[in-house]
Amino acid sequence: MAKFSAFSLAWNALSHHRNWTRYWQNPPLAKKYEVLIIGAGGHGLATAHYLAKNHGITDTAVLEKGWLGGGNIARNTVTVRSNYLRDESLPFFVKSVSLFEGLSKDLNFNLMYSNRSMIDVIQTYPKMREIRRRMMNGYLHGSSYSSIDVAELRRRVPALTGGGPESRLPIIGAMVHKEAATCRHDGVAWGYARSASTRGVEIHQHTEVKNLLRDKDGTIKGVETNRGTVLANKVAVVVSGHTTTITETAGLRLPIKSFNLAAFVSEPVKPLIDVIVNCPDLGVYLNQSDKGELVIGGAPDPGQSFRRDVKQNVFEEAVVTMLELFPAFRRLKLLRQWGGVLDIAHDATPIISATDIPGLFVSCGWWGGFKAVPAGGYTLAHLIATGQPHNVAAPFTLDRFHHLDFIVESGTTTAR
Amino acid sequence: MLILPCPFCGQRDESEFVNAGPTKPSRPDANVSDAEWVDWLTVPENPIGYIEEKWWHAKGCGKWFTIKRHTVTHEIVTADVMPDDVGKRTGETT
Repeated sequence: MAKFSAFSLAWNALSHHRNWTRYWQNPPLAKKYEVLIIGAGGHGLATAHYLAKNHGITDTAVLEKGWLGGGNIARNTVTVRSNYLRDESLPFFVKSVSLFEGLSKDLNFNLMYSNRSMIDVIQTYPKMREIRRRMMNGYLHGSSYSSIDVAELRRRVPALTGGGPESRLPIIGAMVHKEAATCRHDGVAWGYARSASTRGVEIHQHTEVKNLLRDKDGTIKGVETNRGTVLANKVAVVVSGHTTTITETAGLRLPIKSFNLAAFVSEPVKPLIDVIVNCPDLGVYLNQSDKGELVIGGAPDPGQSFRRDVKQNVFEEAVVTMLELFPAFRRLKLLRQWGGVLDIAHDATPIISATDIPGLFVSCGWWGGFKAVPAGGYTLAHLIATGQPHNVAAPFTLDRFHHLDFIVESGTTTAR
Repeated sequence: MLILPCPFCGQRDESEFVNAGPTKPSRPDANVSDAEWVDWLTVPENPIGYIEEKWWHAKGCGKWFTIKRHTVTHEIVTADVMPDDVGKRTGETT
């Protein structure tokens, strides 16, 4: 596949850009593969890429019910960060941010990675204590998190005019996470798909997995799809909110629930906010895209849900709380809104694990999994190829539930 | 926005209620295996279909009740009053 470079851009300009090659191939579906990955989202495609690149396993097919990159990789608020709380989580997310930083080069694909810092706006003392604890633990693991006062916060985010001393929840401080970044979310999916396809991985869209198939001895044998049976030695379920829907076809019960998390985008405005602003006490966070739109996320709908729309009261709550801090935004028109189905374990820590069914792997519980795409794929590929969990993901196995050894995480974006 | 059928106040707006998560089956017998106990403790039902869940009419009559709600269509099929002591036992948190 053609390498992207200034030279290739100039060369293709000569032929009016009619001769660019396709990002990925569409070969016919074979009967058997070494590895099947269910779900061509960020995590699934990253897993395929690292299986091929790091472990030389290219007899892989990625099966996708809809279209490539149409799930949660298209439905997030593009935030990359590592300011988590637990000793178990921090090395994993630090690894993910460092992989993200070199990803454009690794994939030969411009992800428009923009390292722009995240500022947490703190309005209650319990949150201040929790976030200081995260600051101190971050120092131990190489994730920076430093305190700034309210005057400095208002200097760095001039649009933040609410939250004064007379307000319902006055701002008492703020915390800056310098490694935080945004990048082109679709580009992550396309870049991984292009790289994996170049190395021989097959990507099959519109191939819905109906059932997992098991051998007589209980090991995984393959999957039943709408295009027929596909056999494989190893199967990885990387489908976010619908994980239990698939694993239950093989009788595997998992400790996760699915929820709807929504986000919305305003009309484009001139450059206004050059950092990612997170307001954990209100449960709202926003950043400004390169096009000038404000990308705004709120808290999840509290009841289990498999919907991909926005519930009116969840939307209203996010808007009302955002206007408390950014009253000037009341004049903005909102252009689009969308929701995604996320899965979460009750301790809010992800699961990258082998299962009780030999040959079946799961990567789930990604409560805000965009930031974890590179490390999630990297460590799942390691687990599939070697049978052993990668160091930074070793605490994230299903064993922690068997031993009631939970990793209760408070660093997820929407934790309030 | 859901309109929830409070058994005492009738059809009310979701913003008056607190979702208290899915109902759990009764606590298993003390002699069950570790695996069964862990399953009861950690594995919730997560169907594309009807789930039974608890709601608390926090900004209304204060009663607890359960409904069956569809996780895709949000259709609500039943509403049952919970015994009075349930709220005290589980607390109001989700």
